[in-house]
Amino acid sequence: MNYYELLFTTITAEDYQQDLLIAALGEIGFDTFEELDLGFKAYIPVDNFDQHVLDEALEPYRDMFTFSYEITLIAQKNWNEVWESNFEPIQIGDQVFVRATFHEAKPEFPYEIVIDPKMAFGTGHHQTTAMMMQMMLENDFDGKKVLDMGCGTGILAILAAKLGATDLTAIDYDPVCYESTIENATLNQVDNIKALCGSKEVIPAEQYDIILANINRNILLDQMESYAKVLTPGGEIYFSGFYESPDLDIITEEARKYNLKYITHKKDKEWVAAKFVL
Amino acid sequence: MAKEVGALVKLQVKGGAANPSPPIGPALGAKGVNIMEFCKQFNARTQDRPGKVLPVVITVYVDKSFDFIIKTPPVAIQLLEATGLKSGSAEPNRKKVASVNWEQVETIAKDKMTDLNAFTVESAMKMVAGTARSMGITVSGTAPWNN
Repeated sequence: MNYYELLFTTITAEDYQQDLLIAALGEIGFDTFEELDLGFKAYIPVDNFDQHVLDEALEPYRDMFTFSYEITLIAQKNWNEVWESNFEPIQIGDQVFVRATFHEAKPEFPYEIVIDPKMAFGTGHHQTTAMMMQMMLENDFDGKKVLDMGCGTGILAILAAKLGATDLTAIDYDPVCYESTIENATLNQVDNIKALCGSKEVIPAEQYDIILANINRNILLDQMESYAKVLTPGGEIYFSGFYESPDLDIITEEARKYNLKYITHKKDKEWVAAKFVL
Repeated sequence: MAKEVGALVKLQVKGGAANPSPPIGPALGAKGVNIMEFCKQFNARTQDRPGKVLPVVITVYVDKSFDFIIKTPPVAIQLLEATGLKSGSAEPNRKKVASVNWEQVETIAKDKMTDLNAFTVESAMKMVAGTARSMGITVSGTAPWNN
């Protein structure tokens, strides 16, 4: 997505005046701000920008203090490339080895996954991805039909395929992730992942044996009913992307509404991965 | 030994809505931080305040690891919320646009205590009352310490 950057110079403004201006911009679709010594930068997706709306929002502040701004277009690019260019490969136990294309292969690991992450989430470096993978290794995926929600790089779907799952659907609302999943599936010679771009409304009306969802608490709460609808009786759900306290209790309570029974969870720092069964 | 600090990045981000676009992308990405990891953590920690613009100070260390502190919304914004105003007064000395009472000042002061570097609630309240007056908001009643 392309963004506009508005560099505001607020020479006479007191701190609180700048805060007011930032809040006003937040109301009209600007989503993030960077504070500088002599002002701030405000960012808005190009599609949400409307000069007329901006002029109106700024009007009340023109009498309060002096400021000016310059607009620059910032084209979409892979901002994560510095980190990616030298990230360390990662091991999950003694079974999974996750690496980039530029790392040397380690055939001694039964499951090797090659990931080119770009701006998608999921390299195994984050505790939630690592715990999901550990849980998957402890369970049976052979011949299973699997749904991966919020698939990011597609790493979990790819591992599921390597563990023997035969039919996989991987969904992410972010087009960058959708493309990343397709690319990474090809890199790993996995050809049974169907990638879809969208949210819960694009979940196919089919029955899945296992659902993987490493997202965040609020989205899981919002989507849980949709997951329960497509889960086979006796099927399993692995949730992650939230904290043990207070989120795990909130998730467990919501799960109960759909007859999803809490089985177990793993914890690393404050993060949790939890298993539920229908 | 404490880790060596490489840079401090001060942002304001909507709760639960951090994503790898600008400025998070370029500001953290250029320093070699794994942006996706920052977004996941920030969103998990702010999920109860969706859509609220929250100040966050990110410390990036030389080894590319990072820490961050999320602050509560700025005093001026909390004053707008308390009064229902959309902006402050253009002429705060002459034109008063709203008023708050000392209890409201105290609530905001307690919320912002740590961010304001105030040692006592009373000193934090004085700072909040000062910001209110500069915005053209009067503080009604007698200050509790004058009672």
